[in-house]
Amino acid sequence: MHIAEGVLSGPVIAAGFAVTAVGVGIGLKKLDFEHIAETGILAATFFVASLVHVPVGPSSAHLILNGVIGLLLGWAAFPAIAVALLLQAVFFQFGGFTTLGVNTAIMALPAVVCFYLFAPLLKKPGKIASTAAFSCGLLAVFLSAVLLGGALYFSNENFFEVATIAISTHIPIMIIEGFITLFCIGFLKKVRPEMLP
Amino acid sequence: MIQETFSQGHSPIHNLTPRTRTLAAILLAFIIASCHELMPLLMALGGAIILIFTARLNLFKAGRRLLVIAGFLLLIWIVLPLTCGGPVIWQNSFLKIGQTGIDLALELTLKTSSMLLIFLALISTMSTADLAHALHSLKLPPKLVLLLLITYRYIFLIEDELQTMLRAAKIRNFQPGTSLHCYKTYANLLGMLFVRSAERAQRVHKAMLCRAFDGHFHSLTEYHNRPQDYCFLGFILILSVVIIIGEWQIVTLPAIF
Repeated sequence: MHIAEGVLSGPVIAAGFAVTAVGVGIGLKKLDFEHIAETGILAATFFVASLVHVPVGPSSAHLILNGVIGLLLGWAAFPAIAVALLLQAVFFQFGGFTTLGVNTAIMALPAVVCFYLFAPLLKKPGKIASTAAFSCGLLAVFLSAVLLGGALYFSNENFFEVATIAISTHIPIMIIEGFITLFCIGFLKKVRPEMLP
Repeated sequence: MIQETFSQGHSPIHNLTPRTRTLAAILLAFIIASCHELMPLLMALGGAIILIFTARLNLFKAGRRLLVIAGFLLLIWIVLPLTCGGPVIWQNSFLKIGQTGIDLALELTLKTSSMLLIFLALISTMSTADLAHALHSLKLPPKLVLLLLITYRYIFLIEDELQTMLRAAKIRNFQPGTSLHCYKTYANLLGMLFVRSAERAQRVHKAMLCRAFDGHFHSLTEYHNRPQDYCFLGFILILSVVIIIGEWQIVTLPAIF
């Protein structure tokens, strides 16, 4: 999920960089050298996972997984996502320098919010943990879509319809991400519980 | 496969230091992002095309990169003229095409494509390791640069691992479809990818400690600014000033625009 270069207005670009600078600052501060290799490799995994296309009816969508990244990394999701997005710009020209701030904020802010909302619930038994994992995936994509729509709308009020289309196309993706996050967290809980918060 | 298609080559652009190119690309991107008038945007597109030719990129491959934004541009060309209002150009009983939407769609098309071409000509022509060092010399936090380098280093390995796992699933007759089973398979596969990555990260961390890693990555190639770097930055500065003058219309423009 990203906004192309040249679409956003100056104030929105500035706001995006402000949010991202604070987030990356906190993330880097919490990130010690013990964990820098792990964060880098998880950022690489996040990048690669976003190349996976899952079928949705006749079409397909690529995974976002910012809910999972939020749960695994907490605040470090900010620098990890910023780096992954910069690499996406370098390799595929998805986004660029001016949109890096906004695009990072769109993906990483929901990741951190979901971390605080759902990480404590994952340790609970059975149904509560599953519901939390599903909601985490769903809410992360939902919040990202809303932020994306907001960034477009505040750039130019004429983008209202484009923003609405962008948000509504993400509705099926939200549900799929919910299920993927549910199963993925369930898998990690069985195989590697120490990776989860 | 992930590839750095344009990073190797011989051209005046490839000969510039990564720092010069990064600086120029960032400067131009922010200036173009703040323009709204037709004239400066056309000049920006002209500058972008000159840069693409100077970088001697394979035009077919560079053109294919433009397809990335084609879908988005198509959407705004369909939606904006119908919804923005303004003086009506054409209408029938239920559709109205307004001037404002067409102007806006044109502005966005010029902006997006010139910014993409500049990024392609200046940034995609260097390896990511060089970009990381350029960003480091432009005072990005060292930890973030380190993270960028580690992520870049492992993308290819992890992509390989993902392909291996997808191949294994295919051999076991896994057919993707819109079903819970399919999503569960993908989720388990990704979960496994995360587990393997975490294990790899521990090995890498230990290996880094064994090699006395102290938080600094040293570049094997040293770059120093040469005369052509200053000439190029001069050219970029002139282009920027011309674009800004055009945007503010300090000089009265010829009547053709």
